Amino acid sequence: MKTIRLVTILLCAVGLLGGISCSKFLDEEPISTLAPETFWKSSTDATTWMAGIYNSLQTTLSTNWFDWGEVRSDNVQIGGTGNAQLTMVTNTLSANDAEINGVTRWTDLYTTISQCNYGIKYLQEMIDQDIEGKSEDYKNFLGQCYGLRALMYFYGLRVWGRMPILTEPVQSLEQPTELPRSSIDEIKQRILDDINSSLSTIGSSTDEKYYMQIGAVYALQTDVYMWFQQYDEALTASDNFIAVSGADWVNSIDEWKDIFIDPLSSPETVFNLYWSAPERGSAIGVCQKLGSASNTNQYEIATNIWQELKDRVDTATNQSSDGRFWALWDTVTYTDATLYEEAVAQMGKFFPWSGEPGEGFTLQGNSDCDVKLPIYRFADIMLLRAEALTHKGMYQEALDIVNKVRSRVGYPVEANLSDYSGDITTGIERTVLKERQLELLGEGKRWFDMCRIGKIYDYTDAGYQYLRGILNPILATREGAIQYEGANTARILYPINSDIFNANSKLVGDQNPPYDE
Amino acid sequence: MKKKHNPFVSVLTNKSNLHFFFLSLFLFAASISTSAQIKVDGSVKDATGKSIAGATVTVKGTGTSVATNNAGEFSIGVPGPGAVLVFSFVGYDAKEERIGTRKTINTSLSTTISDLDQVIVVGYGTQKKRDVTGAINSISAQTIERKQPVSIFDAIQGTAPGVRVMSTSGAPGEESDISIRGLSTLSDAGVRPLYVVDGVPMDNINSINPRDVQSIEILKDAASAAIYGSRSANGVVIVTTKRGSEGKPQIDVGYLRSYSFLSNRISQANRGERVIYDRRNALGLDEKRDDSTSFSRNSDNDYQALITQTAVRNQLDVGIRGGTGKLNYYNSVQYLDETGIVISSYNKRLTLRTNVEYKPSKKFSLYTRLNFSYQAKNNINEGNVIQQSLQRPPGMALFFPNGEYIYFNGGRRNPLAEAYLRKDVSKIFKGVLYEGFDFNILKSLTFHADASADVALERGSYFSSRFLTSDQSTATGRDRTSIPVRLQGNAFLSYHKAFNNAHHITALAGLNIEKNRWERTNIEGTEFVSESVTTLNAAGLFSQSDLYSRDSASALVGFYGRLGYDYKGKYLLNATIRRDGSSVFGVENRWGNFPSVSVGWRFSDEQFMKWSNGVLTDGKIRASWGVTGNQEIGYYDSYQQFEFGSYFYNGTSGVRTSPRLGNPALKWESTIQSNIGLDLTFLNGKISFIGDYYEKNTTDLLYDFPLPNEVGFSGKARTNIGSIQNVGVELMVTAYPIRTRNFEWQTSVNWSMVRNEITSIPSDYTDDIWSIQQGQEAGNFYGYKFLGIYQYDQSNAYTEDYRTRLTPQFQRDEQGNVIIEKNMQPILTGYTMPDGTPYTGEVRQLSTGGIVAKGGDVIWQNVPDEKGVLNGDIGDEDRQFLGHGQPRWSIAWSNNFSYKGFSLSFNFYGNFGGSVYNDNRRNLASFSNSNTTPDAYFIYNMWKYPGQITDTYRGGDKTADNMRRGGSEYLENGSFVRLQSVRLGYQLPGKLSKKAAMQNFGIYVYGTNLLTWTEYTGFDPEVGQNSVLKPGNDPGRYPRRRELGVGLNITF
Repeated sequence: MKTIRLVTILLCAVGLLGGISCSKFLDEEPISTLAPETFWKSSTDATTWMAGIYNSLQTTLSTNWFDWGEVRSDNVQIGGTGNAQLTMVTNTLSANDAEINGVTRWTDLYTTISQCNYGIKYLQEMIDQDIEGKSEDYKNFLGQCYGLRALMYFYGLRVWGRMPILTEPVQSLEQPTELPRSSIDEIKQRILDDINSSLSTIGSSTDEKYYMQIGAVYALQTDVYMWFQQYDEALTASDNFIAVSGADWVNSIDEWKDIFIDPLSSPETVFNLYWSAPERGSAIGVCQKLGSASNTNQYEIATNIWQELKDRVDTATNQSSDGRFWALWDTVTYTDATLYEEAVAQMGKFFPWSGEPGEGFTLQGNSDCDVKLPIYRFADIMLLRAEALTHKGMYQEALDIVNKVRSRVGYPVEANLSDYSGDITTGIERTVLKERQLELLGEGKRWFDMCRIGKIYDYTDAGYQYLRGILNPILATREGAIQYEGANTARILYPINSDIFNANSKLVGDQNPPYDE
Repeated sequence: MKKKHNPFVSVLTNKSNLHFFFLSLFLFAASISTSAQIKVDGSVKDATGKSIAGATVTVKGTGTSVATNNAGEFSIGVPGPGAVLVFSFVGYDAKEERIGTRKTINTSLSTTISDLDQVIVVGYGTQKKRDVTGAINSISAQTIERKQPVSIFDAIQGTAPGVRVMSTSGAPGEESDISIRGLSTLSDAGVRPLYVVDGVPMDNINSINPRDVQSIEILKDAASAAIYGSRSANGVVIVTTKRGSEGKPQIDVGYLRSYSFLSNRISQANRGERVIYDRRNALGLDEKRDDSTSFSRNSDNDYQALITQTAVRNQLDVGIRGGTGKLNYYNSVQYLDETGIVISSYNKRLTLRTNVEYKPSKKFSLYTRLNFSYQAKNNINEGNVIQQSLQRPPGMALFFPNGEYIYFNGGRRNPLAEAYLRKDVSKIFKGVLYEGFDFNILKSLTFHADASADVALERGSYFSSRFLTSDQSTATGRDRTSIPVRLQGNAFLSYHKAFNNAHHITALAGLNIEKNRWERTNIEGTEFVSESVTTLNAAGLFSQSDLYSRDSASALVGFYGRLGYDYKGKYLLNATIRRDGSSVFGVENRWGNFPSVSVGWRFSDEQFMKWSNGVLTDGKIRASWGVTGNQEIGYYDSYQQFEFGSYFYNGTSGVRTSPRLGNPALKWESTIQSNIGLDLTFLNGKISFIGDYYEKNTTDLLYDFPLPNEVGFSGKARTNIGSIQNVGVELMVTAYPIRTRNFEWQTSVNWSMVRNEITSIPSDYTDDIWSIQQGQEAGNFYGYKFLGIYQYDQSNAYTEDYRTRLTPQFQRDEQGNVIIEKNMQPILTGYTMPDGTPYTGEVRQLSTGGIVAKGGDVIWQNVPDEKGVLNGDIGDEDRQFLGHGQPRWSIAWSNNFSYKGFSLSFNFYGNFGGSVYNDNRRNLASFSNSNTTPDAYFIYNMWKYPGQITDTYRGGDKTADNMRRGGSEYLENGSFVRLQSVRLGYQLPGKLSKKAAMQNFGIYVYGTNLLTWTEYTGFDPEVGQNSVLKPGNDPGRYPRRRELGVGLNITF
């Protein structure tokens, strides 16, 4: 009897455990992460989400600011010995090259877009509910989300051309996740709509320069219109930019240097990407690419550009007078072009002088590089404006901007309208582009400038004449390089990484020619 | 004495009660004291005169039995002179002695050669090998001892068909894993079997001292494994540790010392060869300065000799065991101290084990098992030590004249400094506590319950000296602690009963619960105050993203049952069912059912087989079918998560979506496996054969689905997609070709073959150099086929459709030699087709990435696209199947000889049909940096002048991408045969050792990994096999060692 009773008790215990408490026993929810349902309930949530977006922006642009915006231009010659660098400067990119996966994959860019999509959906809900009475903050954040999403699509448009457009956060596998590429017009419309949405909600502050403020949104708008050669709209956008950004010229090369080493205090800065290596646990790629205390930099600014800045002499004294020359390079060590080229000289633009100006810089190592990279700044937009003015026949106004850019860094030689003859518009446009090139060296602008001049989206020998005229002779001198001609003109776009096709069947067969999937 | 603790009694056949000591034990336990008229004592020895402790002595026809003590002595009461005593012990043939008038009976038992009566451990119980209906391999303590293994994995390697040990490197203390019957899932983490040690499920068994192991059972088919349901899809490995036996304390002491060497040097250029390489384009001597200030050119380092050393292993074992009728104990301590063959690598391990069994009454047994292990090892950074030492120019000095290291020069690291100044120590403290009890409710019904805790503390201390950074700026350090805890409990009832001596029924029903928790903290810092303090209090700067603590947890509940029936041991049936719930799946899909059924037919017992009685001792056909599950995924893959902690911006800790998209619909991966087996025993066990054929179909694969990169989740999503099939054959023959009183030769051969096929997948894709395609095997190499080297620039010439390569014709001198002009070009006169007819059409050339291939560039095979059209560019579409990353079949052969006190054993094993991608060799010859040096063969054979016929592309030229990853010239045959171990032992005769107060004294010499026959040119062909989709890549891993050692075992 005893045993039977024992068995019964045991069986009951088993049954109890099994039947009643099992489902509870098996409820193991994440301990160190948040469930999305519990989020978007307080103003802190909104603030931290924005930090996440900007962190994602850091990831997206850490090296790609350069690999997308500069490396293939005439600014750059190879420095280090890596295969990836050789691939980039010889224009031999391919979709399946593991060494440049980071360049040809758009994953990080779309991650930032995804974070923005979440923000746009849920910040609107927070505004509607007026959580903690801080709707104004949320509106400002919402404006930033729209602005950043526009910036991301604008990068994608310029790098790959047509892109899939996602505007809703993906929250479940049930949602359609495979989308085809949209047309250029659709992407353009998306970008412009996002900019307008941003402008309608974003706050008016101008002193939070590590965030995308209203000035940066107008800057982006100017940039987008310039890309599509809509000069009237670009002028309006830049008018608004000047009116609201609170930015203004600096007055000396010392102040100019502050744009990069002390962006918060500089009047010329508008939107810089904050970076702290200890905070983030990784460094921005500026040192690795252009000037490092620890390694040979992967790239060097082309010797002829160096020479050009060196040759900007004050006719009165016959001395190099463009302050940017010694603000960018150690002019004491590198006294002639041969020395400069052989040394794979570092560009010290983003670093303070270590002694007297021109005597070199306090550089950082590859792993602790924390340059606060400018995304948009006053001179950038003013020179875009100068270009638009040129195209609208307002030549003197355009040249005034160029001359202001020069004089503020100590170069007194002015560009005068009387210097130009024949096709004055093109002549002045080239002057403006040259000034942009020198002013924005290493800031990821030059490649896009080369791309947007002349007949764009025409991948025959009739298109991209400005770019091809400059780059093909350079590529002709590089062993194994491919020039932009015939079918290879379309190499102006980047290849879409092979991985992307593996995961999205709607893209299969839609690689940018002449690349392979 | 084997598993007498075990509460389960398998089906007992009364007919041949020869040496069922289990039965005897139970009878003993249950016997009501029979009044003894005569007292008989004596001793039991083996053929060599060694005492057998724990042998069972039974009075035939009664329940009376006793066990021999440690000296092999017994004393038993018998009813009268007519009584017969039956002596039995596992591994020995039972013997009967009629008492007659004797008062003392000294007998000796001879070792059995048939293992049919061996008791093997199955899920939640035991079975006699004779009655097994599933596919199970058993590895005995004796087999393990013969291999002298460092880790338990060395013991398993090659002993069972279809079981493959996979290690990623030869570093001391490196973890290994096992794959059973192919790879039946797509995630690398899901390949390993379930390990169960003394009833406790474990993630790995690296910390187990192989000398503590009594037996290892490998449950291969679904019918054997399905009772473990949730994690059994890849089979189950059951490890049983040793127990104490009744008698005086017995002390075992063992000592071993061994020396190990690099087993295979690979080709590496010396300084002279490097100069040849540097001067490839110019005749004449090296014109660069080589005076004493040029430290890049004044040495000739043999790096492989510099970074390796003679590794020493010292191992000390002490064990005490013994017991009384109510209590027995087994205690062991092992200390292992070994250095690696690469300088500064080491592994130290201390293991303690205590197994105590207490039987306060006939109905009640208590089990306590404690196991503690400590391991410390220094991990070598393979990239910075081994791979750098293969890349660094041999002429580059390692030290400045003042004796300081040259740390970092021209992108090359100093492998010596890297080995000495980069510390990466892992320490693992691990304890397993187990408490269990058995209660015999009725004679045929037992209740068992147990609970166990498996707690580990894993510490990783990392310190990299500032001198190892290129600018010697700052040291970096990391301190990481993980605490995995697993709490686990079981309760079950087991029942067995025999009816009419013909029908045997067993039944089992139980419950298993488990909780896992995993906690981790991490600190990383830089800017150390001093190089001499490496703990993190010395760090001056901490990276916010790298300071964290994280927890995670999971839970599992399972119900299981088994029903077994046999009729006279002739017709056997087993059925199991398990229902498991796991927290890692979506709420709706947490529960899974895992049934199995297996049948056996002992046809040799049938009347119509009588004719074969003299030859065929036993013959059985087995068939099984079952469903098993796999749940090896992240704890929270089914949840949507927002993450934080490493997403700071401007002082604010950011929140963002987890890189993985959660999938609340996640459910079990299930494998349906059918198995047909044949067990044959001939000539009383002189020859035995086991053969199995199986088919495994795995569906709802727990697949890491690559989400479209546009959706913002870079880390994929876990889904149930696709299916995979494994079909295989396993054969094993064991034989005793010679067996005399003094001499015995036992040999065993096993052979296995497995074919794997991805039967469905949403879309085919290529991952690096592997293809994942429906209808193909997983892990196939996919890349560019190397056809040779263009002799001349003009040799790159094809017909208009690129189908035919043309032969260029050149102007020749009177001797027929091609005239090469000053510009190093021949004078082209025309082209011919391969058959010699002149070709006048348009000549096309192949290019890679827009670069036209020249003389000295690789001729790649041009593959037509879907429309059958060839294009002029070698690109992605020209990739094709190149080889299998996984071995296709394996063979192992073991031999044991014994002659009086001498014993000799040796084992071979080999894998065939797989390829290895020698990425290390490719990397050296990829000119990624002017300071990497190709191997000597490359240097001598690289293309240097027009017209050269060679198989090695031109040196130093990257433009044509000759060294592209996936090029088949670096895919090598990975087949090999290895002499895995040899051991020669001598056991002092019992009489002699007794004189020295020892029961047993043995010495041995052994060697492992003595010879390998292979065509592979890297360190070792066994690389990267534990990756399902990307196996067989060799970037230059820690090489394997060749070990020679001597040892000594003494029992007091």
